[in-house]
Amino acid sequence: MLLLAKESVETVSEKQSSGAGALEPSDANLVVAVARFDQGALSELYDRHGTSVFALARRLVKSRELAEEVTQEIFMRLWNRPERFDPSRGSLRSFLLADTHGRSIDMLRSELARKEREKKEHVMDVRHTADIESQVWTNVASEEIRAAVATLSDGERKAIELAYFSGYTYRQVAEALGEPEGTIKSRIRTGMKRLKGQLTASGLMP
Amino acid sequence: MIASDDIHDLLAAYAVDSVSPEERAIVELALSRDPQLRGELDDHRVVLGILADAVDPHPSTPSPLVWQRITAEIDGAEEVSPRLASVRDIQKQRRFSKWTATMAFAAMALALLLGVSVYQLQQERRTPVFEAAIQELLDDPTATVATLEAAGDVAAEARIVLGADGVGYVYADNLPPLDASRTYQLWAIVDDRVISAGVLGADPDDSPFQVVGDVAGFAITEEVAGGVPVSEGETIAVWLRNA
Repeated sequence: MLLLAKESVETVSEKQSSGAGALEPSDANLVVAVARFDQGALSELYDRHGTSVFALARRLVKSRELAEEVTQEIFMRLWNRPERFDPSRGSLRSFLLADTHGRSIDMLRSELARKEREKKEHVMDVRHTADIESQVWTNVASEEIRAAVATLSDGERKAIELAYFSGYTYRQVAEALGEPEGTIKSRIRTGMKRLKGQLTASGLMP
Repeated sequence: MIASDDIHDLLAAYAVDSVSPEERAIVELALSRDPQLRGELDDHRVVLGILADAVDPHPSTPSPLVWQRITAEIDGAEEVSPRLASVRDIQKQRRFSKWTATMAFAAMALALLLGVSVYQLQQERRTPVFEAAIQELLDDPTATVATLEAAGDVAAEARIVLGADGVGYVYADNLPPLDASRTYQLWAIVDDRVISAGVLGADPDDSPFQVVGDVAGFAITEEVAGGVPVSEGETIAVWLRNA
């Protein structure tokens, strides 16, 4: 049985430009337009989120070239499989950043696996990263976010920072910090819970 | 069996992509079964998204080449549909070739005659669901009636009747049944773009569809079950308005 026609001639991006004073389409509406092969809609989404995607990828893979590769992949995934985004489960930005993080980590780990001989050095890197004063939070401009991060215990902050922002597995973090693996997992969870509570209280989370 | 606290701890580690592939599989299985766990993951991702944005308030931007590469990849993806691309090429070539157009017109007229015969022969086999609507359109002088001819070695034919409002019906019961892992897919050429007009299934019957804009042609391709956004399969049957 035939399903729906997937395209109309008038695209969302054309509607936007033709309708004077028209409301800016939501991310969710633009994703629907992407599902109808509206390249203008993808362009608008890239303008809205491309820089954040690139910034997170670059922080993780530490290379402009690789980060641009990740950015390209993330938007091509959105183009090819827009149905993966479910607006009932959060914002498109959260979705794209989660996708970006996962892809960057995959890239990072495959590179590390290829350089197997560097394994020991890698563990030492984690120790080094964990020992130095954290640089991750120094540029945070938002008072609310600084306050939320300040409520974390030192162990929670380090665990989240090393796992999320530096891309280490919780086992690597545990080894580097000399803590049981279960403790690290638990700290990530309690830290996330604490952050959620703080961000919700400050109105940054629904 | 995994303890409740363990799965929540593992979920948090999963949210920051710090688990092993085996643990990832365990979490994803649990997520597929537990909506509460999915909600918890969504919360983690919102928190992490906020942090990711916050730690880099003035990020550098990607090179403009990234967007150029994205559009090139999208356009390239259309071109890797060689047979549909060739449909467009044929359309363009034929538009400017009087001789070809004359021959094609004669062929189309013959095909239409044959098509009517086939249609008449198949009247009793067709499902009656859309019969009245199809008949109404066939009686409408403003409707377009098209016979899609076999484009390759596969003996295939399909007919389309398209109303002026863009609602049409394809009766594709003269296509050989496919394996369940495959499907026929209908494409329309609108404003020089090839767009999907619907997935017909492995053994199609009468099906409605809708297209907005001036249709310059139709094609039916064979694709993987479920259909594809950009054709990757063989073109089975084609009709071009200006041929």
